[in-house]
Amino acid sequence: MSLNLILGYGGLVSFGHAAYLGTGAYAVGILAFYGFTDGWLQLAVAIGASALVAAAIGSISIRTSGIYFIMITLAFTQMLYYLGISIAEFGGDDGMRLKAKSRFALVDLGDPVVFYYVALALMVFFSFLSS
Amino acid sequence: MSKRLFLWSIAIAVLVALPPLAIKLGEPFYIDLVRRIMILAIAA
Repeated sequence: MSLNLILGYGGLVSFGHAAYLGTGAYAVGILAFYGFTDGWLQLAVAIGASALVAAAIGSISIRTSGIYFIMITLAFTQMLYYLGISIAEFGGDDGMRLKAKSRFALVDLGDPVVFYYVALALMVFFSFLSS
Repeated sequence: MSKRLFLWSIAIAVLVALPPLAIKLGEPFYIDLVRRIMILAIAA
């Protein structure tokens, strides 16, 4: 869906998606690691961190085009990948495991069926939003 | 009704029906599998 926005509407081939997804995931993981399990806080921090990284990478990458744009977004993604796997405290190259699930006031994401329907609702919502 | 909307409706109906069906068949693995695919679909 995010590829549809940038490639379908924007015409830009970006290899930077994993970096933004990873930044949000690490933001949630690091907050959970330090005992902050409030889902709304994690959501806000994940979106903010990803947006900040995207703005920094985008402000440089957008000055290029074509194959250079692809290569520079790939290079930034690789930089963040090596940053992620070099932090031993957060799992290093084994990856980071969540210490605790995010807690939301109204929904219990610990229940796999509830989690499934939340994911389905979000997917349908963002599909219609991006189409 | 457009063809696109019709196909979307069928896809959503199948996805909504999957968890009770998977539990009934004793295969809760498919709930996790499809959930992960949907999350990656949003992100990718």
